[in-house]
Amino acid sequence: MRRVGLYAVAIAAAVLLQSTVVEFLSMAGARPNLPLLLLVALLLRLDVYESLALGFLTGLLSDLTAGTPLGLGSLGYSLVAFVIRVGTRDWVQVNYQRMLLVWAMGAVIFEGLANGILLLGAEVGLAGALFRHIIPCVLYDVGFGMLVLAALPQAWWRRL
Amino acid sequence: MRASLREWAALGVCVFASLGLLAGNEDRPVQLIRATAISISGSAQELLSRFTRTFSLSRQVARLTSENAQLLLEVARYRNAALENQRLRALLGFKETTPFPLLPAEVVAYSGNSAIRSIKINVGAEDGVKRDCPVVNSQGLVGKVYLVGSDYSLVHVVLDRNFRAAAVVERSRVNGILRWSGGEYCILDDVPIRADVRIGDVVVTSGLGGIFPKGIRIGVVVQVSEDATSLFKLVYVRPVVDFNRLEEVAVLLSSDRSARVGE
Repeated sequence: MRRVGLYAVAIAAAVLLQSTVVEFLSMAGARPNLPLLLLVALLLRLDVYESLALGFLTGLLSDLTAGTPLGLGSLGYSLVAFVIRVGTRDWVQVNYQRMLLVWAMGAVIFEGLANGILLLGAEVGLAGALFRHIIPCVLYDVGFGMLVLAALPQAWWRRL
Repeated sequence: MRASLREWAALGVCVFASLGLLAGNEDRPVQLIRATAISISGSAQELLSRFTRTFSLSRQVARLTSENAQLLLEVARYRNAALENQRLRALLGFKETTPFPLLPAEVVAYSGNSAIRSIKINVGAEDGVKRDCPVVNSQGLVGKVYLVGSDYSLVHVVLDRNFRAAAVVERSRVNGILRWSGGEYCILDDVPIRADVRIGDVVVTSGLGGIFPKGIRIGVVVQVSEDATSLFKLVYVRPVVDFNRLEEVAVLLSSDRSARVGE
């Protein structure tokens, strides 16, 4: 659990960046979800319980600093943490495709859940929520992830 | 997914705890925790946003210079109108309406989510900000304060699912309730099918409801739809404020409510 505390500090920094710097990268209302990308990458080094704790904490930090309803982020990130950690427990090594796959999975779960709850009852409807919010966010997350992977030395993230 | 019973139980605990928090969002203790958290995180966010802002300063100066010239022209026009208004009011025996004091503020953080469009500003209860204070900029209505910390406050902007405002079409004085459509536009609700609303009409706050003063510009009508089976028109309004690049705003202070952290 000591690792969780250490990772939580990194997540807190990502949450602060998300609410300030990342806003300037927004396109058509979508922006990359930095805490999500970092969380998913870190989950691959933790067990299920640590993953859940880190996911819950990420959500709390995100809700407390960004003004989203308290509990929404912790719900979304806890589910992401559980699905990603349990779904990838047999993986011996992480490669480029797998890394992108887990980011895409995490983005689909989180953006789908968070936007689904927030847009419940809004005029946009299911198709509007999908095409205006969820899909652009997922695409932006995965695209940003590709850039990050291209920028980082392979040896670094392969150790995950 | 192969997970043990204990792992499913751990997930259950997280889910129930999250749902509990979601259900208690309007409770006073939760509001207090959130108000404290926005004050703590606000300082770090303000530092980061100042750092980012230095990169866009020259662009901002150019924009503000042209905006200033436009505003000077408008001020001259309004000064004439105010004098005329004063004369007419005196004639009619109206009471002089007191203007709200403006408190300038900087945007230090954004919600980072496309469905919740809240901003954090660097003024709070210590500056006299209260819940529901209107927030504006030079273009028009930005939103209203919904959570007040000691030095920072959270604002629901017009393009937020929790935002509602009593509005009126400036030309024809048709009233309605403005809310977010879920996209880049707002919808003016409760507009009767026979009401006179046209594309290009300006929508302003009506002053009804007691939160927003009368006459703050909100947006422009971009689409009017009619459904034969409905008694109301569907009026789409494009906000005049550019919410993607909000940097400076002003809070309209009022003196009728007491300031409390966490409200």
